[in-house]
Amino acid sequence: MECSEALDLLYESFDAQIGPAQQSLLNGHRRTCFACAATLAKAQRFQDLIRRVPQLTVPRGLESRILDHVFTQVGRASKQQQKVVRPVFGWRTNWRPAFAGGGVLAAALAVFFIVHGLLAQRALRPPDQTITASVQGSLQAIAPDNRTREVAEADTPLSTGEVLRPTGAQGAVVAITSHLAVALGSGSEVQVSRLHLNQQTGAADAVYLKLRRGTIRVNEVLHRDVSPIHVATNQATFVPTGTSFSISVKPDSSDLSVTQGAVQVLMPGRSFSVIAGHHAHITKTNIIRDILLKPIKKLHLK
Amino acid sequence: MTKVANGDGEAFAELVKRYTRMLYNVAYRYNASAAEDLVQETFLRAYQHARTFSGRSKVSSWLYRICVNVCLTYQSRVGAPMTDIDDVNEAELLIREDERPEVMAQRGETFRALEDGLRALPSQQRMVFILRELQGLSYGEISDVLGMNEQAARTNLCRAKRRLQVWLDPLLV
Repeated sequence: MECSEALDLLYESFDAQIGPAQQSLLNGHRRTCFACAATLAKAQRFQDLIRRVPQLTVPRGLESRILDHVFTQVGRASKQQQKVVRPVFGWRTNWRPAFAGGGVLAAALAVFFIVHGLLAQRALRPPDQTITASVQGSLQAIAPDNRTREVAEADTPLSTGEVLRPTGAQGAVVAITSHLAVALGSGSEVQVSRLHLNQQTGAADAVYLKLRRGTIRVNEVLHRDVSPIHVATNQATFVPTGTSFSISVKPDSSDLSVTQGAVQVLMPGRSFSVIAGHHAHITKTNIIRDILLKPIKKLHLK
Repeated sequence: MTKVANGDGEAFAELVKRYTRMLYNVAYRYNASAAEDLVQETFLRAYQHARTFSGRSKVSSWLYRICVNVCLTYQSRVGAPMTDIDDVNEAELLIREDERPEVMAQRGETFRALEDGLRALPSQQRMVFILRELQGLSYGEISDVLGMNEQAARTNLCRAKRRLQVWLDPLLV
């Protein structure tokens, strides 16, 4: 028996997929072949390792985000179908399917009522996308309709789509929850791209910020292993795992510095962690190679 | 599933509650950065196509099949080239000091090293490994979910394990 065959047989034996005759062959090979003894021993350790891989816990709020996503998508599809149909038939023809016994409008209405029923039964609705944050320092909050308000040393509502710009030379700190604060550096600009609230507690369980310009520092004390905040730049998404970190963005690059804990960096086709005391430089092109080839440097914070 | 097909929100919420963790584990091991989106898309498709569930297979197998399709479609759409372990040259491995398995081992990051190795496997091998070794599906179920015969599943698993064992070699002492 070839050593490579023995390895395959061993893998299959872990799976209880080999018969007595093959088991006997394998045992004989293991007794006599010293060349692959180490490999087979490692295969056993490898199998032990696999058996110890833990099941992951689900990120906070994922189930409700799934329900929101499905509802939104199904609702959108329903509206699109109705838009196609209405100009053709007019309002009176809303009754027509009941008599005609079918047609596109019937399908559209069916979807609509399913969604409506879903809403009624589950009280599903788009999440309330406004939270109250506490601001230290001063900043400008610009709503999607360009209405601007100045906030200084006060609580303020924070909504999806709003853009925050610190106005003082010292920047501003936005406390989003009792355990999550974001310090906006002077000259920075951040958009609140998505907020998701826990419908039971009303607290933010997912916060997505888009860093458009400058530097921010995130301080987060986590009670669980999954972070509620994701900070995105044009190059990557940064997810803390119980940590303090800062991110600076330039048109073609992002810099991440982690001072406590670790931050997971999510990029297309790849993710990796940056641990406390380390720095990562991420560029737009040839992203992975640039990150991995760059020597990890100690971060010296002033 | 009949209730879900009829638009019963409670039934759908129950489905989400019962199977989110199972699907999240598959999606995360397949592509950590897109795991949440992949799970959301899986449930969206399940909701939209609930009427096509025939009851011949288990609900979990049906959901696995959707999830696998979503994952593979995502991978082909994104087209992000995954690093193939066999294609990584020695010099590059030396430079990637922070990510080398033995360094991870010193930091107690054995499982993360395994995940990194897993993500570098070809899609089919990765999925067979996830379903068999991490989710505990039988070869029959894998065959059903991936649309390959059982022998092909076994072959893919052996290849995946060979590659992973080489990748993790420094940890297996």
